[in-house]
Amino acid sequence: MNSPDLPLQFPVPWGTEDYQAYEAQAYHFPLTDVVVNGLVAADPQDVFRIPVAGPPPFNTLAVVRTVFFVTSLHMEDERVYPFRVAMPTNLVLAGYDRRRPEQQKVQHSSSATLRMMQINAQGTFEDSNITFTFAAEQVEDDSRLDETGRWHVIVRGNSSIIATDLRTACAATVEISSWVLCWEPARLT
Amino acid sequence: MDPPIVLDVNDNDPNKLTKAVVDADLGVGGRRLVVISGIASPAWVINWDSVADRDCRLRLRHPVDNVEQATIHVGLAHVANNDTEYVFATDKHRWEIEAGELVLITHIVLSGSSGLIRFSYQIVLTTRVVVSEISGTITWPTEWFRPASPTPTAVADTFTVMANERTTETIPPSEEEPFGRFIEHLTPKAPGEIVSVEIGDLQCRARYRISNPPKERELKVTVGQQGLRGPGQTTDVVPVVEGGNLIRLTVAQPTRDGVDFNARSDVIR
Repeated sequence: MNSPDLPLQFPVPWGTEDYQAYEAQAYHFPLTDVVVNGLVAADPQDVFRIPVAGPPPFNTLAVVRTVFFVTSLHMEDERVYPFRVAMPTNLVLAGYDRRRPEQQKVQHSSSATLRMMQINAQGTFEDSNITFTFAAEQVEDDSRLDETGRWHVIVRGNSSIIATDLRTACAATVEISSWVLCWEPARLT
Repeated sequence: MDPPIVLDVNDNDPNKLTKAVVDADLGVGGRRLVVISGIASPAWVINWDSVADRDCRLRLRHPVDNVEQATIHVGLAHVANNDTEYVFATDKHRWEIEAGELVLITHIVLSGSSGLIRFSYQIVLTTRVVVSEISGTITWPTEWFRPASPTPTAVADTFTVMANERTTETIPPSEEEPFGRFIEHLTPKAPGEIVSVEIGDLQCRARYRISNPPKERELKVTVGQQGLRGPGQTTDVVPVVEGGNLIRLTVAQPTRDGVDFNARSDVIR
């Protein structure tokens, strides 16, 4: 699905954007575990491959779990922050070759679920006067492969927070569960 | 419990319900592994200090035959709260087959000044493909039409065989229509093909086959003709047994043979 209204972004390595400030906040699940050097690092799971007979040209069905951050730090500004991101996954097509036409497309069925939501304000037991939204709105049918054969899944969503305390920050992670039809050369072992 | 929210893939609104499918041939005994994923938007908003709950039915419009195994995952995808205590939950789910198509039912729960705008779903199932078929014969007097050769090609342009989905509606009597009205709607679903032809001195007979018509639907097989020249003003191809062309195939009974037709020519006086 094309979404020309929102530019496609790629995750930025930790420490170069404003959300590095979130590191200083108190929270239960450190986002530093989620994205390292632009790749998923939290709760890494192996890709599970199932040989299939079709449909052509596919010969492999891969089960891929990807953890993805919805937001990192939004100070109270009453804005909604939409995002559309191509998230790198742990699926790297074996024997990827750009000249192989059967490796230039994949077909996937993916869901996106909020796995963690968190707001920290004045303190755990104080009234924080917070209005929030966390949203994983859509996993697009379109996806992409980079030059190494790593598969990227494209997700849209948004987040917002309205609070009286300027120190307030919110964070959430999404788990994407993908089943991916692809083609890989036959394994020799 | 509040009434269910119903979302339908046929509404073609990606803001309401998305659906992405992979359907893989496992290469063993006609088994397929099907994954159906997406995000549904019940857009349910409340301002309530107790706990509210309801079902959300997703009509996924995915035909399934013979489900051997199925597993479902649902989870929150878009929630919001306006400075109150809250509950968000997608805590029960099940699947049903409705008219041969998959329906996912999710029990959703909400409390506070809150919105459960979207939830995600993923169904993984294995099915065994059950091939369906309708077959029968078409018979007509040779003097009305003698094919050039006893081959399917020779009658391919003469007969149009179709399995149609049949729905009906009854309009009750009214001032405008004192006797009411019965309306039959036919939607073409699967075309048939002629597979053999016999030419006799008095009669010809063609055998037809309709491959993979839908199951769990009321079907009506029709045969159109062009080229039969009977003695009457109208020439039609009608079922040998009245109503014998109304069929419902099931997974248990996926085939039907003997749906036979005769040509008939009527003189209008």
